[in-house]
Amino acid sequence: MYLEVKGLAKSYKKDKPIIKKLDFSVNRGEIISFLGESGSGKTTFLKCISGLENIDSGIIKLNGEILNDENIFVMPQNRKIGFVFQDYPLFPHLTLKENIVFNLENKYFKYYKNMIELSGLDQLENRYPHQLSGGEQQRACIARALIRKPDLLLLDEPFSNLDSNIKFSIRDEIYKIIKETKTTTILVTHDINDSMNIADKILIFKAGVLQQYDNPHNMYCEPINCYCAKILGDLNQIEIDNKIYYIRPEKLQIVKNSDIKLVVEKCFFQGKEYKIQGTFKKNRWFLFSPHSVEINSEISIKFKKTDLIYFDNLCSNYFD
Amino acid sequence: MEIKKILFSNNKRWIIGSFILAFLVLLPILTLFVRLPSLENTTFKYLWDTLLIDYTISTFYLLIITCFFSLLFAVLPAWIISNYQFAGRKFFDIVLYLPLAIPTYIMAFTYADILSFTGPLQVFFRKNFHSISDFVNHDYMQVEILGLLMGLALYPYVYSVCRVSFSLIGSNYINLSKNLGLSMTKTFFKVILPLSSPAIISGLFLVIMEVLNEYGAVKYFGVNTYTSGIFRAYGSMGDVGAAIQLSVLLLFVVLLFMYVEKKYHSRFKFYYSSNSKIQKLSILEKKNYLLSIVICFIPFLLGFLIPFLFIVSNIFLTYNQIDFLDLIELTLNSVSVSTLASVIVVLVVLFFLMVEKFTKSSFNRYTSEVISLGYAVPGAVIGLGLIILFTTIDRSQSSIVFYGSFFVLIYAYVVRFLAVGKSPIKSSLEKHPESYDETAKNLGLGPFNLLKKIHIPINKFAILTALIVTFIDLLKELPITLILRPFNFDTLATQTYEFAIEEMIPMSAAYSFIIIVIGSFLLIILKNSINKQINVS
Amino acid sequence: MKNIYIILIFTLLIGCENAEKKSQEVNLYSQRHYKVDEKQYENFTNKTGIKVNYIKANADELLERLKNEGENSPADLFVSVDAGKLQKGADLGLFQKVSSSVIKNNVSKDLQDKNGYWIPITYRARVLVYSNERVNKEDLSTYEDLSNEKWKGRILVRSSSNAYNQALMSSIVANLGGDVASDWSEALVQNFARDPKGNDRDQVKAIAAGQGDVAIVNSYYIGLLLSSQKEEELNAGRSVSVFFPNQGDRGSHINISGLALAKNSPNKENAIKLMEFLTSEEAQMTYVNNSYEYAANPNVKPSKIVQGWGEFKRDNLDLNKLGEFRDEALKIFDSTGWK
Repeated sequence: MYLEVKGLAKSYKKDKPIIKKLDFSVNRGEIISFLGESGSGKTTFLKCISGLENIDSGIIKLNGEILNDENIFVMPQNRKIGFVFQDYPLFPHLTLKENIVFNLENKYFKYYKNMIELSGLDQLENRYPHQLSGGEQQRACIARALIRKPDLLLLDEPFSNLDSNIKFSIRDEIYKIIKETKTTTILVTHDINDSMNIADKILIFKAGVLQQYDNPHNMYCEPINCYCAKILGDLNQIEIDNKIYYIRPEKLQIVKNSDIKLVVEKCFFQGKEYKIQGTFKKNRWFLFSPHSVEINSEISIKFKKTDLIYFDNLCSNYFD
Repeated sequence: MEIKKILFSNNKRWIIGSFILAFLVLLPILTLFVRLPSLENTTFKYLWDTLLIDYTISTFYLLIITCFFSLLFAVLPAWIISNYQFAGRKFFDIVLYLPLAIPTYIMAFTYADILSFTGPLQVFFRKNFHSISDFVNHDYMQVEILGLLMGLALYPYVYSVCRVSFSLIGSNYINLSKNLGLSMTKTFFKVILPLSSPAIISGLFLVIMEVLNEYGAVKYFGVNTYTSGIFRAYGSMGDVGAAIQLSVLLLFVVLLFMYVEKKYHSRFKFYYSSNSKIQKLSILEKKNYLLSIVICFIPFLLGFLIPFLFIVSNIFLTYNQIDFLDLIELTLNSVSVSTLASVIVVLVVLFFLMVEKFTKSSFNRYTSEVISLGYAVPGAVIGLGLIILFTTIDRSQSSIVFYGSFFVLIYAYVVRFLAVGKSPIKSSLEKHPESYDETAKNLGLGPFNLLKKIHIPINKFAILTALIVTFIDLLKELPITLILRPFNFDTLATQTYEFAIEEMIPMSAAYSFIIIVIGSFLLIILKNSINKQINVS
Repeated sequence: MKNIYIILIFTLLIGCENAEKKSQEVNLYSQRHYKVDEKQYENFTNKTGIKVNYIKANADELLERLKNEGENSPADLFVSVDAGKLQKGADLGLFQKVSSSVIKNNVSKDLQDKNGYWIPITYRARVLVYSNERVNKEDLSTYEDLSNEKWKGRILVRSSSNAYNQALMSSIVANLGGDVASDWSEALVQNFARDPKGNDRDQVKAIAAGQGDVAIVNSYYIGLLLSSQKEEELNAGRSVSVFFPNQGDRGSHINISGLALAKNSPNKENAIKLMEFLTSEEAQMTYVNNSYEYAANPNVKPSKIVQGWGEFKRDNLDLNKLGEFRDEALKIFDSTGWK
């Protein structure tokens, strides 16, 4: 195991732990996505890993060396961890080049040319941060982190401050840079689309503990609880034999006639298909259809029993 | 990889260091508390019974008048200059800061002379308009006039914060309120003024501090404030204990104001989006042009031009009596102690603010608050605290003679003026996101490099501002210098004051002239530095 | 950073050096800060080779400093412009007696301290000035008379926080008793033309402006006003005349400026030399020629302007009383509303 986190706990106030217990590990070269709601402790987690915060208990191990446990605390400047903050903090008094080589050891200077080409900044070396676009600042921060060949790269909400029209291209570029440099990366985000697109594995974090940690496919198809299931995509709720089951929208089919009838509330075109929103026994349902349907009309639905997902009733109570 | 065994041992070292330094800063004030006699002290009881109500009333009355005039002279000109383009704008943008270069007591002495029966105003009327000269023949040494004069000397504190605040508040808000149908006047009162109120309050707070600590001007005009009470107990009654008690009382009054300011600040600190680009100025309409010029010109005319010209005319009058060698020597004295002290002030302030940033401990948040207390204590009282302190040390350890040296003088300056140097640096640091620090740490910077490579460069204008503001205050400083100076040591301020109290105001002109010229020169630099901050952030 | 430490250490060294240099110098804590003093010290140094160092500040602050410094005080001499402060210092045990026949012979006997703790160098009188236009000289007589109803709204005087007023009130308490002084003050306040404010020169200007008719001022400041460079001020000065009150009885109130030898004086011999020099005819001439004070040496006549006011009889009160009755004087001010 390359990065190992065991029993990590952290609180700022005594009786209000932000991270109750966290165990997981990352393989070399993997990109994992740490998914959680805003305010859930994602940034705290990154600060613990990078050494900007000391942990209350547990062990953090990177590349076989202990970074933090009961006795040991490696200062942040001595951990080989790159950290890219949410608000792209380039120092305003330094040019892009000066920012990237800021406090850089000599042995890394040879990567500069490659890095700046890779991140597509080679024409902008002498500009100051306020002369750069958001995407350029973002890439510069990542280049600044990667030029030091970190053992681990931490990205904190890297896309949240970007316009949606440039976000996708930047996401792809960053993915390309990370994969090309084979850097092990933890990306913290609240946006499932980012996770799905960029991560090898997703870690869902809620209520101070890890909920599920798996690759996107498994996570989508086999969510461990209703919270993870809902995060990964829309869920339709159905009660059968006094038990609550869930089913994904794309598993539903419109048929001419069946027992399950839905009143259409909305129908909007999404390019490939229509997405339909309707009510079924007071629950809101979503499904897809190649054809448009009329609002307020009734449609019939069918699905395979094997596509149903079951969680204990307690689950939805717990997370709601 | 280097491994530190003890958790955060570094932080502990910093916290202890800042504790020791804060203790040293507060030591002169703490010494006073130790010497605090019981309330049964007869002098204090006597003052309490007979004079304290009078002192309280006149103190607050003077405060209200001074604040009123400070606002009057500051807010409108700042608004006009921040938002409108007109011929002369650049000129006013510089000169409206200048009254800060004139010490309050010089302002008071000079105007009392100008307005007096033998002053130019009344003489002019007697000679040219004899019939109405009786109407201008008044006793102008009234508390209201004093408030006006102090307003003139102190309004730049409010002006500077308004100027920054008005420029930073995005033109978006102005456009928005125009879109919502508000006139420019309404926009000003309903949007801009409320948004700027925390800044204005903090500027007024400085004005209040200055008024509470003023002695020379207040005494001359026969207005009894708390500070005059302290001097009465200390000077006339010779009761140091009562003087200390009054100082502590004054300290509580100041703490009250401090508390109000903090409360207001935290409650009404609006996180408005600030202008990223230089604001586009509206062209002033013709019909308003003259009015705006008048509004901007009056504070400059009354606050600087008239007293300055009067002082210059006094120089011509006493030209043959000026001792130029002495003048040069005192200028060098003033400049060198002020420079040294203001540099130390800025270094100490940086230390406290960096430790606060670095350790993030609540203890350090408090220490960097309490080190400002020195500003709330009259200079003479700090001087007294240091005398008691150092003579005690000297007695127990007679080989060390700190006392009566530049060391003590500078020490007192630093204690008194830390708050002055702190506020510009602090507010600049607050503007920068925490992630600068974290990124720098992540990139491997220790605390010293963090300061050197990040915070000093990105806050350099704020540091320059702090240096200049402190320097000007020190140049004007009087009570501490009087009591703590070494043998044969005079400054421009002490010499000015000595001539003034000996009723030889014209003789003091050359010395006050130099204070004003140096101060003005620095204020012009300062103004550029402030404008750069407006444009950068 | 390093440079700052060097400067700091350097300033420390300067401080220490100052304190350790003891040979051939004399250190003054002085309330007097006139240019004539610097001239005197220069003359003294030229004559004797003894350097004169001085710190100028308010008397009370200097006494407090002296008191706290105790044995380690570098001060040799304390200089004040108020006998009350000299008495206070003596009372606190900060001074030592000086027995120099030279000084005794130099200064008028009635100005000397009975206890021998301090010596006078100059003196001033607290006199009345009156409007030439609106006041008959014959109407003026004594300080006490100023409380007469005929002066209602006509009296000008500065604040009671001024040491000269405090000394005047102390002298009245000492001569006539606290009750008389208190009644006098109460009635006098009723006669004030305006709230006390400004300095002595401002009181004279107020007479010229017609705001009042009679002012209680220090003779020294009248001299200054009458030598002003400003035509208008001279006119104001000429529109009033000086009157010495109480010539029929105890004489006009005076106050001295004087010197006392610090108890722990490190340069005692030099200090006494300076005292002797300052009371000598030569130095006393310098005083009267450069300021408007009266010389403590009876052989030295005051300056021309001062001589123009004529000779006067001075109050022979023991000047230590000006300090002893200070507290009572202050209480009278406060209880009778003399601001």
